[in-house]
Amino acid sequence: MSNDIEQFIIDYLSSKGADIPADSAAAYNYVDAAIIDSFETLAFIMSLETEFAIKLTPEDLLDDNIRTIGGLSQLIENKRGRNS
Amino acid sequence: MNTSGMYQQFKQQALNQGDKTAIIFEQQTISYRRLLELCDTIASQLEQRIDRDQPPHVALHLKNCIEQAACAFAIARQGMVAIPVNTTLKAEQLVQSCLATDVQLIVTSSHQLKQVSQALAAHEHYTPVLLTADELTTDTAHIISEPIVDIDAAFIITLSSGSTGEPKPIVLSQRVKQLRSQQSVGLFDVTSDDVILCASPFFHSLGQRLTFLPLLHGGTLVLLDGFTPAKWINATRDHGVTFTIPVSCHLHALQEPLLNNSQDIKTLRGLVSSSADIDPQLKHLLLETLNCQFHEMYGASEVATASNLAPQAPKSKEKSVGLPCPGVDIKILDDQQQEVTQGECGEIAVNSPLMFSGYYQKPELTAAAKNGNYFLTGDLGYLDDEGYLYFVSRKKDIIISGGINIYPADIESVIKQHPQIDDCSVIAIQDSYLGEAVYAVCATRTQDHQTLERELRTSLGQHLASFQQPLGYDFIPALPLTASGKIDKQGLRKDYNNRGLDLTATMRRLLNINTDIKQRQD
Repeated sequence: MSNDIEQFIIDYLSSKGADIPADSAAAYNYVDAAIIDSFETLAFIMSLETEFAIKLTPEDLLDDNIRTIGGLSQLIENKRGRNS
Repeated sequence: MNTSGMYQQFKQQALNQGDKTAIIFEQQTISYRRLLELCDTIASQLEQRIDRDQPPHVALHLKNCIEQAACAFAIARQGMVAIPVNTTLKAEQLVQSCLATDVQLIVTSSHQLKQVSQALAAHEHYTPVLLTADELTTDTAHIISEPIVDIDAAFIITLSSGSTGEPKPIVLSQRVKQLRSQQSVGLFDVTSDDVILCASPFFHSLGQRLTFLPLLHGGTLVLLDGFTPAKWINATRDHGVTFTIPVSCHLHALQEPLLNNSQDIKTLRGLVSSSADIDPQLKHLLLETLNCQFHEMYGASEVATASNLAPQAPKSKEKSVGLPCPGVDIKILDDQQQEVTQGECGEIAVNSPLMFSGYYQKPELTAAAKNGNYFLTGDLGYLDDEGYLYFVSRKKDIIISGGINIYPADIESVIKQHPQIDDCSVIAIQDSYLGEAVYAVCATRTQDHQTLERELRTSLGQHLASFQQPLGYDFIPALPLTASGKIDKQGLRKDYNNRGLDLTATMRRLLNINTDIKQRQD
């Protein structure tokens, strides 16, 4: 997995007040933690799309695992790979 | 005439209720007695931190929390002025909001302290005191006496926009805030037995109303730090919530969870929809499933609730937003501000004892918003032969997304700064979750729309708050114009709303808007 993606997500969520444990960041469920509201979630999705030049669709998000930092990073990594 | 303010009314409840729970917030609870002590500590801390020759202005830059409610009463106690600010504003927007309202002290959270402090550093001539909520509450303080306070002076300034354009800082006195709370008691039969849920942020007038309502009347406040359907349902079930006012997007998101959990939330006796655009089908479904009284109300931050469609209103009136509230008079005016004949559509104008004091330091804007004693809502509607009010549409160019007023001009001005944008129009797209979603139609001659969109998103992400970000862009060679040469916004709205755009589908899926209800734990 690409560390730059995971680090981008960690930095983004931390700036919104998330307290992400350093040793288990990949397993951190940012949806259950509810630190970002719906507008911030929309802005978060747009930031990811802009930063990594991808488009996230509802169909991408069927797996519960994408609600963890690790799962989301993996999804973006896969999509980025397909785009490049 | 009553001269006892917000703090005195709360203190009376605190003395009566003692160890009764005042606020439940996440895993914390606080009794009335302890909350009163906290208010007194904060009041003392605030006085120590500010040199005052006139009532100091204090920005509350906090997400919902117990300390925020305590700060509000402490500010009332000392005759200071509270300016609740949206925590999702960009740091520079926060500073501009504070400058516009002459803030001398900013209370923020420890995790946003650094950002706020950096933004302030760029303004060398503006040096407000910056504190975290923890600093106000952890120190023990000598309790100071209660000063005599003018309850008709400014108490809260609510900012209607995080604005690069024309902010509308709405000034409300303690007396009007108390009367507004009393209005809710009368309309919705609220008592000290009620457990009231607040899922709206405090910078929003609804968040303030739901915070003050229980605490001024001896009830219990269940406070959420943010809205998710699961949090809402769990809090209602676990704490026996009896009453709340959701914004309509919350109600739409709650549809499935409410229907699935109706047996678990039987304590809920009253639900008020706070805007005119609730889906009639959803309303019927909720009425059939939930055993609670359902009100619909119409109002604005400037005048509070103007009309109420009570549960006992005849079925033939279900498309209306009800009758004017006691003490409120509603007129419908034409473009020349003359009253129209009954049944004719025009601008809704409201005269209410709960009227705001004005827009802060904007006498011309305040005068322009009034016709005599009537506030011009900027909404179009009509009255039927029995005096029921019907909301038709908005007259002002404003988007209401997730209950927040958004001014397209604020967004358009940032987009137009991009050298490749010739013109742009920001419009509302109907959305099943937010009610309306922000969409930008841009005129450009460049063909590389992908790069342009990336650049715009980056720029807007830096300059505008999350709720102001367009959820979609379209790029066309030129914007359509009306016969008089203005951008045809109405035509654009109609055109783009017919395209079946769903701008929040990905977010709804990510947040599990329909399915994230935890199982009951017995």
